Amino acid sequence: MSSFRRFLLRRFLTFIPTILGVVFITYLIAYAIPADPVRAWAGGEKAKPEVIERVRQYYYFDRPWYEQFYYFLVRLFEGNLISPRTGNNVFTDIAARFSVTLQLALFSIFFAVMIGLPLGLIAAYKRDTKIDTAVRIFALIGVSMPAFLLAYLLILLFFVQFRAITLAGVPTSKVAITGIPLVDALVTGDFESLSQIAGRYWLPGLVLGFAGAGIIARFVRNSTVEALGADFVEYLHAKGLPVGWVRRHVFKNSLVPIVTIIGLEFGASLSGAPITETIFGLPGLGYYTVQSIYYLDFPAIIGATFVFAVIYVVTNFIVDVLYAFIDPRVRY
Amino acid sequence: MKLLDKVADWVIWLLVKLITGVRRSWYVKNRARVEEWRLTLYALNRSPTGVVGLFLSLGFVVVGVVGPFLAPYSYNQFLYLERPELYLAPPGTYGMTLGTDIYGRDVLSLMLYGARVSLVISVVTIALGVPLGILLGLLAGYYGGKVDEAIMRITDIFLAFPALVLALALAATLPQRIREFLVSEPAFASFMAAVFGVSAEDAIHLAPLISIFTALIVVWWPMYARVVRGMVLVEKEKTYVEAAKALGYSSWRIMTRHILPNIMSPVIVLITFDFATVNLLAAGLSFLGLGAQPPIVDWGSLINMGGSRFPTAWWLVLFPGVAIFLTALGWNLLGDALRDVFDPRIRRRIEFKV
Repeated sequence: MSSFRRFLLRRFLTFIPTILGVVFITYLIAYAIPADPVRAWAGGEKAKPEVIERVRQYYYFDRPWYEQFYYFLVRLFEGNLISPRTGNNVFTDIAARFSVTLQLALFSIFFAVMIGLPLGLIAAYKRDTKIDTAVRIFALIGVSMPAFLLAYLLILLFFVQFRAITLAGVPTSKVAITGIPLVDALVTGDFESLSQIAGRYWLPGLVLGFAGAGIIARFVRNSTVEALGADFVEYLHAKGLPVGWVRRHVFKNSLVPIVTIIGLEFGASLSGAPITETIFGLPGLGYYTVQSIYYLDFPAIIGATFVFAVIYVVTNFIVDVLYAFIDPRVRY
Repeated sequence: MKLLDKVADWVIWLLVKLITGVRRSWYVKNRARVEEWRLTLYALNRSPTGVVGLFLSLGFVVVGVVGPFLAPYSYNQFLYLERPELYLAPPGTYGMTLGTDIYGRDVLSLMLYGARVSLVISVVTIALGVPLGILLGLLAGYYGGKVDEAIMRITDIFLAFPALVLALALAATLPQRIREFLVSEPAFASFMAAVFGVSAEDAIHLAPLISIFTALIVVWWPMYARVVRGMVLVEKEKTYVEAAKALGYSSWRIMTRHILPNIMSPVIVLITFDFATVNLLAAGLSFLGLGAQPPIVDWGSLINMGGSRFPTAWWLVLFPGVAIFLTALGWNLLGDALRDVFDPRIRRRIEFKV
């Protein structure tokens, strides 16, 4: 186990340069903005000169870029970036929106796995038949479908026609424990809130999970086909094990790439789904970023981009660690 | 299928003619290679999904090239000014097959102009981003050691961003700089206007589109650097590289003339898939309001316009949405078929069935 700990440490250490590089690139992006945003932040054309001056000093716009970068780094790591748009700490704003994005990601990964996993397994066991081709085409349709087209078609069907979803508000649970309404409602058995949450999130989750379903189906199929070709399968058949039993062994052996792709998909949807959140009016991280962009709110853009990158890197790390747990053959 | 094979023969023949026009002895030396190309195309013809994909993506390219010339109305004909009834006219009314937008512009024409925008963005992104990635991947994989370490650390940093987020941040911050550049360089501006199929006085409005493909190039190269490096690490251990080294060839020559051709088929498959991904991502950025600004349109901005008036103006969402979907599906189907066709084992299987 000590080698495992060393692997963890080594993997963890490679993060530091990556995260620093991420910060630097985000800063470069923000620095690329030539227009002086201070006037807009201070209140537009009618802003008082002394207010503008104060805002400029607060964000160190009167200093050379390396000083700006230094103070920016200090504030970022102190968690003290103030958004000129909302007047709040950027990280407070982001934390407030995180629960929406997390719930959306949970619904999306639920649909992606529930659709993708069975389809992939069927395709693998009915390899080279019409079913296999159909699943293959479904997967390609999934990755080719623009989120907005699917979203508007489904809104037309479920909102305009059937009124089966809600498109406004953010449901909460009656008792707040973790701050994530879905989890709280599940834990306390609060079915009323649960159905409200499901009514609000299932459709955006489905839209977001659709592409993931295609990708997962593809991965499940390929890795199951590969596992089916292994020698141990023939041996298990020869030993006379029932088919279901053999399939269980095959499934276990095909799990590594499947877990990887599910983890990566989940990480990707955690880092915000700007398009889906915008269409469904969900005030999550992606929506927050888009709004920050409209208002040239650079501290918020930088803060959000930074948080996304950290989430992304951390999910990749967790997936790597899961590898080692699932598959003892993985060397680390 | 016979017809398709004839077309394939004809395409190959044309290609050979073109090359022999430049280099006389080429065909004689490369007869085997031409024969392999022919078999590849034949194999592609035997995959129904591949043929559908080929036609969809070729159709996209053709419409993208000729679209602005075919458009019955120009993108800057605001018919609403003279004919108020053309405000959001539904499809099929007032002689507008696909309806009109909020300025009374013909949606069919806008779609044709939008096809050009999509084509230019995807071609430029891939033509500039992919070679950059391939080059860095070759260098990192071939030289190894410190070069590898340096290039891959930078690549990792870029890969740490979710693609959409990085593209979003860049596409949001770049337009102002690019607008200044377009003003100071009128020659470049009018060249870009011609490329995008818009009139020269609108060139200044191209800044958001130029920033989209700039953003996408920045997002795109790291994936290729990573993939190509991996393949080069495998290839460089093979004996043909050793032989080339023994012959005293330069590293550059070995990389470009020996290793690169051997890793090209998976790269071509990736590129085909990426035409779909670039299109989807660009449309997404444009849908979020970072793409074409009026009067210029692309598919994503049409959907943005229709989305805020949904479901009343459903045609502004449906037609561009389906266009984006079919484009992406076409490239994905083609890429999927090419992956099989380039795999020698599967190709032989397909060949011997015929």
